[in-house]
Amino acid sequence: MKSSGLAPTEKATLSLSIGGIVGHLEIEGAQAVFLEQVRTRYGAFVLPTTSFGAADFHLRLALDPIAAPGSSASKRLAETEAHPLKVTARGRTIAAERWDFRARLQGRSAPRSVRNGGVSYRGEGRCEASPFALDCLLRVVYATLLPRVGGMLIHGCGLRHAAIGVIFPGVSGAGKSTLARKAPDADDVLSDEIVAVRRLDDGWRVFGTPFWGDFARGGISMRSWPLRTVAFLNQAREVAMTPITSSDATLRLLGCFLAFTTDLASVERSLAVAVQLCAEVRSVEASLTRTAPTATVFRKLAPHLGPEVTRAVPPANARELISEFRALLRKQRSYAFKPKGTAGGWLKSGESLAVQSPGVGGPLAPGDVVLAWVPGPTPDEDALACRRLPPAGARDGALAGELLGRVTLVSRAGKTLPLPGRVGDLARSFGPLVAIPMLRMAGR
Amino acid sequence: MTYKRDPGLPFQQLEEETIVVDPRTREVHLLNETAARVWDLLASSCSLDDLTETLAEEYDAPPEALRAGVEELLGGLREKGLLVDAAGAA
Repeated sequence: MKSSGLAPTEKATLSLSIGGIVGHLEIEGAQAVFLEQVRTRYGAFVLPTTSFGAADFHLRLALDPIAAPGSSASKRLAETEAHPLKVTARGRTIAAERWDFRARLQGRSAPRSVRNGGVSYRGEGRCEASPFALDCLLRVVYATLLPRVGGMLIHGCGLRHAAIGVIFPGVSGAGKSTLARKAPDADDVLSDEIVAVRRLDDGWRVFGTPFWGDFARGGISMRSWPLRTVAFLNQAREVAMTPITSSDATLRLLGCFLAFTTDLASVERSLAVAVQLCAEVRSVEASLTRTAPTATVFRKLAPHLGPEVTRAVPPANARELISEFRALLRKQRSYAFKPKGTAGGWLKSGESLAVQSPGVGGPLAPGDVVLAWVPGPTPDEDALACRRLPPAGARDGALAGELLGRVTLVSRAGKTLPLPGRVGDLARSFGPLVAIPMLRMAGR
Repeated sequence: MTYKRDPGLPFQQLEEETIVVDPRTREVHLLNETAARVWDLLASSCSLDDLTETLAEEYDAPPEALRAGVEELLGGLREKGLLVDAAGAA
């Protein structure tokens, strides 16, 4: 996706994973500045480029230039009014159009590698070269696909608390962004506008999204957290948490449920998801003041969060784990992790790796040992791989996937072994590494 | 006159209540236990007399004590567009 200037690129590809749904976008006719905006906004949810076979949907988008500002304001206003958002879903066909985009996806039985409902969608469309148009289109696609795999997008603020997630659904003005702004650590905000929830094998989980509101930033990674409580926002003079029945919760949730389609099958699906979620996750009415600190909110909420709030729950799969590792590495610029148990034949319990963000400690050079994220056909098969950077000009495919950082040290048998160097030769035998518990060192 | 619930409306039965969604108006209706039972009975065509008689038996109450309540409930459901008449017209 790298190019320069205002000339349109021939084609750019982008793989996004939001709520565990992977979408491959082929974008034609984009300028570099637009692609940079897209990459910045969705960066935490971007997967290393992989084969198109592993996606839940593939969408080829041709970009149209934005109308020149001012010159056609009245025409644009007329277009906006004449072509409001319209989304239809008939069986496996989903169509969405608005004055600034239109797209159509057709579902078909998926290859074994796609787990989400056994259906993969493929289609094409046009979109104005505006981040707002693309964002709306993505919201529509994900809001329509998630209920088909037992999830939904919810209009709400999502917060990570210790090792769990809590969502605070609410309509516009309910205080979602206010709640997000008060979070002591902005990285704990999964979104102040729209979060994804989904039932996985171990129960309901909440995911951050890049669909944010006034807080202007969303989740830092693809990692999901066990959803312990749904706390419906209510502005009040005192902070209080009042348990509500599952039927009341379902009613309220349906009011905060991001749905664009109104056909019978879609509504039935959404209703079933909402009922199940509210039957299985406790719900409260969260009466909050605008000034109540987050600590107060969670102190009041504590009796409704269930036991073992701080018990570490591993990421749902390797993809989530590596995604969060990437986020932490970017934030801290260097990171040490210690896999628990064996992780391949070369790194054993008690040993650890130190990794630096690219750019830290000087530019990468041939011979450096780097850590790369190599996506697999399923989220469980994503892997971290250590490789030696080949000499300049060599094209041996050693850097398949996304380069995450430079490995600088291996701590082994009480000794710290710097890399590169002779020990760097170890990299040749590193091979794929999936180290599930490695994020424990960061307390996440 | 006989009534039937609108077959185009998705609904979910909870433990005692039933939630009905009207996609046309984007409204959600929560039916209490009694209304949920009436909704259940309205899966097939029923008249006011049919419903009153069935509920009187199930709740062991005199029909005359229930009739006004059932009529009011039917009126409410109809007003909200959740029922069709036996001929199929809303």
